[in-house]
Amino acid sequence: MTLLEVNNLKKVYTTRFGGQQVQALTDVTFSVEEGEFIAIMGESGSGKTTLLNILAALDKPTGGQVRLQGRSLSEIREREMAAFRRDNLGFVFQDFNLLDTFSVQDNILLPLVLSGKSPREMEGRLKPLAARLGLTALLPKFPYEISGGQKQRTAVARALITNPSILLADEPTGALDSKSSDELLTLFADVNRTGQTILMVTHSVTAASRAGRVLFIKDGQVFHQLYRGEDGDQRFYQRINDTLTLLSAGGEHRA
Amino acid sequence: MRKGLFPKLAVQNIVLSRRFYFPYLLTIIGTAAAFYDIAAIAYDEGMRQLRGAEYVAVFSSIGVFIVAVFAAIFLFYTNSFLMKRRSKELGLYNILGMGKRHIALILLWESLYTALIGIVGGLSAGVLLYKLVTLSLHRLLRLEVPFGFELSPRAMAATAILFGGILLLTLLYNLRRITVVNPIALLHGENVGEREPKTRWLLALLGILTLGGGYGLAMMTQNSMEAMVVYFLAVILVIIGTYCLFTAVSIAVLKLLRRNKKFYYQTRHFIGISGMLYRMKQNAVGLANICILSTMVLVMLSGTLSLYLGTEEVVAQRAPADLIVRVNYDPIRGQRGPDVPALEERLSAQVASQGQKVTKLEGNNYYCFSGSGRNGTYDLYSGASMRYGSFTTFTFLTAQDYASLTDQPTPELKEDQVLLYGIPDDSLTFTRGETPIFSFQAVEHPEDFPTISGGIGLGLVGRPAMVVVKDQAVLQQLPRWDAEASDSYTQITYECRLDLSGTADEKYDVGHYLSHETNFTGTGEWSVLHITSREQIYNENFGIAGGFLFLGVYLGLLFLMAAVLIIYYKQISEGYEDRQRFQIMEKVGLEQREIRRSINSQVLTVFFLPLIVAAVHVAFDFRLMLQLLQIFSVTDVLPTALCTLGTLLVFGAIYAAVFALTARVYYHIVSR
Repeated sequence: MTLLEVNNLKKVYTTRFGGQQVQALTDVTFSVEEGEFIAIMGESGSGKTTLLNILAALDKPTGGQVRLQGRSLSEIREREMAAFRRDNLGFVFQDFNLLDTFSVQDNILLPLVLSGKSPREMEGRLKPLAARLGLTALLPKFPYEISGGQKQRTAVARALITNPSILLADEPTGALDSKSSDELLTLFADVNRTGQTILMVTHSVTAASRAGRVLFIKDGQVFHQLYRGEDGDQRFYQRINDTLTLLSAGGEHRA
Repeated sequence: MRKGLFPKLAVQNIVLSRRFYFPYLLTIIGTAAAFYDIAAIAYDEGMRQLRGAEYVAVFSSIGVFIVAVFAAIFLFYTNSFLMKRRSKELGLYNILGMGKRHIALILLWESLYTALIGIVGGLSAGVLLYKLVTLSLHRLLRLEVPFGFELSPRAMAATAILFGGILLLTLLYNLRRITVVNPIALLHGENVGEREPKTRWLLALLGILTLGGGYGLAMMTQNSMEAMVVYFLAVILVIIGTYCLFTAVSIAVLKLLRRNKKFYYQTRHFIGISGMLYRMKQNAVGLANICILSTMVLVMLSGTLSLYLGTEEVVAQRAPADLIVRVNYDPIRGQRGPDVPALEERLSAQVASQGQKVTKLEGNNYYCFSGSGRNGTYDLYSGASMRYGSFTTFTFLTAQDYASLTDQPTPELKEDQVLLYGIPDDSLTFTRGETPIFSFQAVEHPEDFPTISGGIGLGLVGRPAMVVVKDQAVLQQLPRWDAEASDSYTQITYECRLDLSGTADEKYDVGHYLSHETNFTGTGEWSVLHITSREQIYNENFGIAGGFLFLGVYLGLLFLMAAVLIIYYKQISEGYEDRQRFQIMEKVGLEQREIRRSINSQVLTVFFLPLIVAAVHVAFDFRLMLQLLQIFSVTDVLPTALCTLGTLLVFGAIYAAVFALTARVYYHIVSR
């Protein structure tokens, strides 16, 4: 079943004094099936972040549309938007975005508190999730007391606790050392195996090589895509790398 | 490096961080102006010539001292705030390759400009405001308003030296800071990951104890004398208590709230409590400062205003006529008192010699003492040793004098019978400790009583009671009984009250002439003769009350300015801290509306907490204030209560307005 549909997405930024226009997304079309693990790759300035912001409903497209579970994001009214985002989308950011005023536990519970869930229900959801992510012992600690990898796991837990239909990750390994990165990607793969749809924007070939499908964006368009198929991580890594080389060589190939 | 770079950089820095610098400059200008004006009054020779001006000299020198100390503390406070905000900028300079010497040069230039703008601006503002300040001072003292426009070079020099000195010290402090700290620390100085505050039970306990102690003292004082002794101690205890309350007790309470899951896990409480808990440690002192400043403003204003408004009444009590002549005589030593016709003749002649006429003349003998107690039994022994407070002041006069004052037939009284006015007792028993010495039966309670100054006029304080005894023999017996009961006695007073023709100034001059120039020999047997005029009493009382009010309003405004500035600085610094938090929350799915609401409730709680605590302080202070006001013979509770309430309301309104204005700056920062 198709979970997310992106059709002819276009985004034009106008500079502050109305002078120049910058085309961030020219024409992006793709779809995501339920249970997929997709990586989106592209160079800086290729429009990755713009795309993610539009998918996250943090930004509005100039043209085209995004449908999540058949519902167009542009139909959702401003006042419902926060609730919609909370219930359907989970976010993991490069710089964690944990609140240093909250303990790990409260950081994870934040979206549930915002939805007005009862303390008992929160507890019920928190316990198994924390155990799965290896956070049980860290729950009472504060962000400044834990490592980067632990912070990112906390952020993942915060994203997953609402059982979102899609998990959006923006360079999740960007601020982590290689060991923590590896752990996080393994965690993503595990979570994906339980049926969680993941859409991850990344620079890192290693990170992308753990996904089931990789989309390449260049100049505001989907330039190419690769399916893992039966490949192992090692082989997939190689193919992604080759594609990137081709891409930077400026090949005029379109998927 | 190119010459002129540092002055230029310094100007640029001041302009760029104007959001912090502008209020700082305003503070310097404001405090310097305040200091100049009060110093100019203190140094003004012309002021000394005025009636009641001796009080002005005292009040203004107290004012000079307080303003100077306050300026030093407050400028240091704002400076350290400023430096903390700017540490990142300075660290960046360092990393970009400027030596510490260069940074020091920039700071030096900045200080020079700051001092120049602050002191010159402050002096100009002070000179402009001086007219207004002296005008209001004269009005408060009920004096003629002088003309002319004066500059006080001496006060200018003092202002320049004081503020130059303070700014130099802050510069040295800042220089020390940059030489000690390394650039990376400077760079991150703004957001050092602050740990969650620990609950400090000991401190919380200390806070509760000191605050309770201060309040307890305020509630337990029995009279003005005790109030005066206890006041300072109570103030210190409450100040300590306030600091502990804000640092420890608030954290303890917030943690208890957090433990209650049902309460804590609701959007508004969730964000609010964690936010407050997180910032309480750094905020506690600032909030306590605001609270204490607010309390001081409230107490000073309500107290001095009550005193001032009550003074009209006090003057009316103390000066029942234009001219009051008191002749003291001692029957125990055999003095028989003044020869009243001779005395009256001499007074009339002297008044006539000054070109005025006596329009009314009356007199009577009286004897006064104070007793402590209630319901008919009064202890003179403790009443004599402590003259202030919850005492009753008895003024005795004879039936004959009473009759002539009221134009009624002389009441028929026996030796132990009296007419009693002012207190409802049926009998009066005066004791030495527990031992009764003498007593009277009250046969009648008159509804009215003629105006005589009596004990209040002599400066005794307390509930006034008027007692009419049978005759001069009983009156002359009173000092003996008084001595038996309290080991001391006063003399009997013959009080002669004269109303005069002429203007207020002419009456003042007559009083002055009579009390200094006139010889009263040959007017009977007496020991002391004292003449005072209503004008003199008026000037004295308004000299004190007006001086107090002036100082109260002056310092009140200054403290208010300080409180406003602290609030402003808190709002912006918190705005910068909260910005990131709210951005994250928005990404996680917090509605804009909800963000606004939660900011509102958090900021509201944090900022109105000091006001509420200040109001509680003032409520407890109220009793003490009433007792202190009794020292100045202000005894009415209702006007004082209204003054306090009014001050509280006006202050609350100003506080709310300041809050609303600075909150806008806060929203602006957070939502950008």
